[in-house]
Amino acid sequence: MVIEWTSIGTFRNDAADRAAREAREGFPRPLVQEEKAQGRAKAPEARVEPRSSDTAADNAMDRYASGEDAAFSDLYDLLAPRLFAFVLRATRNRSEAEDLVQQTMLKMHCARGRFIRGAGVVPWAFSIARRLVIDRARRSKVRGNANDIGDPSEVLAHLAALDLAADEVVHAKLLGKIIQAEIERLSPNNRLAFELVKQDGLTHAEAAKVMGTTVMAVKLRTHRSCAALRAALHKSLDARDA
Amino acid sequence: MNHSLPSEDLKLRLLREVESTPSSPRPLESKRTAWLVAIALLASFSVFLVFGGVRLTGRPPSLVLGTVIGTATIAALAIWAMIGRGRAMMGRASSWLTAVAIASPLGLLVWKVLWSAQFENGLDAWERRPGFRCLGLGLAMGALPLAAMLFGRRGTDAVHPGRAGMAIGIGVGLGAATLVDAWCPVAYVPHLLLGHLLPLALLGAVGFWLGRKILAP
Repeated sequence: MVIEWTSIGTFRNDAADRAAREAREGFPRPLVQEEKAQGRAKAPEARVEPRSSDTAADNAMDRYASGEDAAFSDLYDLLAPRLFAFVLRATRNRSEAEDLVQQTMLKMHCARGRFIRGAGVVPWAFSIARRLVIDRARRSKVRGNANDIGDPSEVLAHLAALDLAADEVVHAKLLGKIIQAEIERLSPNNRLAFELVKQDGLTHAEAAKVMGTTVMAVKLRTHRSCAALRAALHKSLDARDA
Repeated sequence: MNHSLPSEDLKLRLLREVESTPSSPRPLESKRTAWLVAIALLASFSVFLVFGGVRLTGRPPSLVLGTVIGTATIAALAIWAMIGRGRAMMGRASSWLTAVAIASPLGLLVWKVLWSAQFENGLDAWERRPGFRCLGLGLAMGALPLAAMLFGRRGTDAVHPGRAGMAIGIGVGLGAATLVDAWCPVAYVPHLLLGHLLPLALLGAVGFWLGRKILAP
């Protein structure tokens, strides 16, 4: 199954880093403890400031909406990779994902005149992409069966570049599999909240806009997802230690 | 080739497609929408005037004034809560829209009954006024602004276009209800349900249906 490789990559190799640290310290640390150690314990509150790429994307969209046609290229550069990662996770098919990113950007182009000055373009773009993914899934009634999302050797090469011991790499792969399997088991809403916040880097408020719900609901769903992942990791690591 | 990024030629394809797909920039679109909404509101007000405008019909002026002020306040709050988006493209959460869409017509009914009950014979039944004229007036005044506002937001709501359309429909209906209250002297509850609340429900339903077709990108 190829998705694990992408997931490890999407997690920005946190799993590998964590595995290496755990190997040094001799025990696994829960994710919350991990976040505290990295000064990310107050992540929801700390992330109210928009990312610089978000601000740049907002500016690009604002310029494009105002009639500056050349700004579309900048907008594409800032949004397309993030949208592609989001859509690819849902479709697991590169060509479908590219098609959906293209449709998303085209729909943004068609509605540019109605873009509200000062509004955030990232949640809007993600909400359009999400809708297109849902529409396509409804039409095909098959969720991700193509699995042509990439070459696992790329992630292996990345892990190798981290200069980890072979058992650490294996451990990182195992953690990636466990995490991915647990993500698959989450309810659709919990999974989406987790993916938008933890993997796509949206703030809770932005994710709430994409999902059409409240910030509190997104926080709750993200928390539940993290708790489920933590429990799964603990369980499997305990089993391994035993 | 980086497998976590889209292919290089996607951007070229997209830029070609964008060039060949016309879309109006914001200054032009804003002007067009403002004109459309203004014309729709003027047409609605013309309908109101054609029906006879403000009528006391034996009611004390304070009854009419109080009713209209109360209804206008509820309408303004509901419109702000449901149609206002602030600096966001997707508007408010679905649960919020649904709650306000249910609460505001009920608030309208409660206010009308409570205020009319303060006056002698304020809640009397009017056998010859079941409410069909109010129903017609409410729908006639709400239809054009609903269409104009949906058109002005077309293709922008990917999250809950149906509910956003419903919110616009009920918001517009509440605005129309303010004028209907200035026109209609009856506060008999069955009349209010048929003539004053049913238009809101119908405009909301039409808004929901059209919203899914027009507001979704």
